[in-house]
Amino acid sequence: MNRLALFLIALYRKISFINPSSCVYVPSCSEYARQAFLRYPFLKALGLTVIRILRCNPFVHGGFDPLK
Amino acid sequence: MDKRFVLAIALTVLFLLGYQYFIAKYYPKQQPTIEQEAQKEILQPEEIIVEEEVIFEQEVAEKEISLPSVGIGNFIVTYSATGGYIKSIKWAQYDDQLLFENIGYIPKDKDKAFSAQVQRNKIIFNSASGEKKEFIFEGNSLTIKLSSSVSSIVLFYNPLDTSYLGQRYQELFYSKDKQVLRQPLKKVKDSSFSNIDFAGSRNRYYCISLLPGDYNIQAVKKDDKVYLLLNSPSREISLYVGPQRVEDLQVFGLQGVVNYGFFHAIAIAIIKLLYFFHSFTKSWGLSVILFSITAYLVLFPLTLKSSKGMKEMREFQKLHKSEIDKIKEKHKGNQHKIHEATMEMYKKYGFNPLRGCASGCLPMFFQIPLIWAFWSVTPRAWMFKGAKFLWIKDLSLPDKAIHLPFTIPFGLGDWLNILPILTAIAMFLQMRFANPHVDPEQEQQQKMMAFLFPVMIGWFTYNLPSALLLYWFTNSIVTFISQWKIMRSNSSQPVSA
Repeated sequence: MNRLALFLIALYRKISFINPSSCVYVPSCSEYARQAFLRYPFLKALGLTVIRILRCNPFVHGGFDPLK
Repeated sequence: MDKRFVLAIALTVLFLLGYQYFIAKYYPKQQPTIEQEAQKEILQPEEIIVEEEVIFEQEVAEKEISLPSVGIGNFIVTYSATGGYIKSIKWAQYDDQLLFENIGYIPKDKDKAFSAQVQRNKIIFNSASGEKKEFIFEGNSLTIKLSSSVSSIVLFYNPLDTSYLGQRYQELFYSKDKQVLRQPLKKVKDSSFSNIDFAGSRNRYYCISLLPGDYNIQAVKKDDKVYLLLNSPSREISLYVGPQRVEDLQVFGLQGVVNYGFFHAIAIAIIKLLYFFHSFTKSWGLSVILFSITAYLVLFPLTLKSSKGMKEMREFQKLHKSEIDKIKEKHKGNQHKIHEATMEMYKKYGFNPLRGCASGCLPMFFQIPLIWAFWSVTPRAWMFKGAKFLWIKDLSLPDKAIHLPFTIPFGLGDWLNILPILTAIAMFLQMRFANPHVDPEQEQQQKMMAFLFPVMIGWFTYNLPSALLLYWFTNSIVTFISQWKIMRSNSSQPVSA
């Protein structure tokens, strides 16, 4: 499952340049997700990713936010 | 180029080939003409078993060919005097067969001769024994008046559409306890339902339905056709016949008939917005463009606040120019290190370089339900039917600008469609401008991707309705313009997603 998720993330990053750069965090959401899926079991990584994406909206300050 | 990338490309190409095959199956190249269809019907004698075990067959072939037609209101109605029923209905404006047939057919009267009389909006059938049947059209409502009560009457029968796509939109619906239940026409089994609020059938654009009341109905399947019988009907039966426009159906309390699937609420909102734009633009093409721009502005507030962010960025860079230069000197040739060190520096000064220009990743996900909803609206949108815009003849079809003397390979058909090509070009430009900073090791790969991706999108969307492509094209153009603005005024913006 994690490998599938990592594959999808890699695929997304390959084509993400069709979107304007949008992430307000460093590292970006996709990088954050990649690290999460490398480090944690599937469900936890998925949860972390979802929470991160929810946080990544126009109403937050953004900035440096590494995976803990 | 790593292995996974090659695999991804291979998979995508495979998927696209499959997709074209799938599309070709859905949209047959040549739809049989109405005459052919009629002939097909004549060749298949029908019989149906109703409650009393009466077996009845359709009239002999010769008789059907010369059935009289008459224009009433929006419709062209073909009726049969033998048996006294409406054989078929066409929507006059587009010459569309409604695919609801044998309306008001009473099995026991199958051979009874009626004398037909057409009045302004009525067809009246009188039999020698004094029975009378009236079909009264008023706008989109049809009332059937009977002079004597019968045990059951065929409300309509539903032949399957000739195209695969058409069949997919055909369904039988009935409402019980305020809940509308649906069944794809192909999967309908013989069944009966009592105490129904309303029931009927719909296809891509049209629907027929009993007006709300209390009914006992029975669905009978015979040779791919579905008959809907009304058991112990009253002397006056009221139906809705016509296009599935929410505002038309609402008048009769039938708005529940329309359903756009999972994102129904958003789809309805989109339709309302389109109608609003149409009220002053008077053009559906312009309405779609306006809708696309609105969607972009709502979903990406980025464009609105970017100018402020860029200004901040420039000021910051001016202020700390020496430091930035030092970093560049130190990690010369290593983009990744430069990026990292710059980020460290930004952090040190508490400056967020992305704050001003980015709206976050979440808004991107809001676009999914919107596109999904629009996707489910377009193929069924009655208003796009026959709507012209610039060179587009019909927004519900591909734009078909020029008919080519040959067939384009890869299953694209023999029309030159301009919109998908424009969309691909817009996407290509958009990618070129989005990505001035290319990692040297990834450069070749990205170049290839920047070329492949638009080509794939163009291919993928080649035969989609032009309304959908108009939305997509406008979206890429607007994105491109706003991005170009950002890139022009701030070229050192790091790109990340």
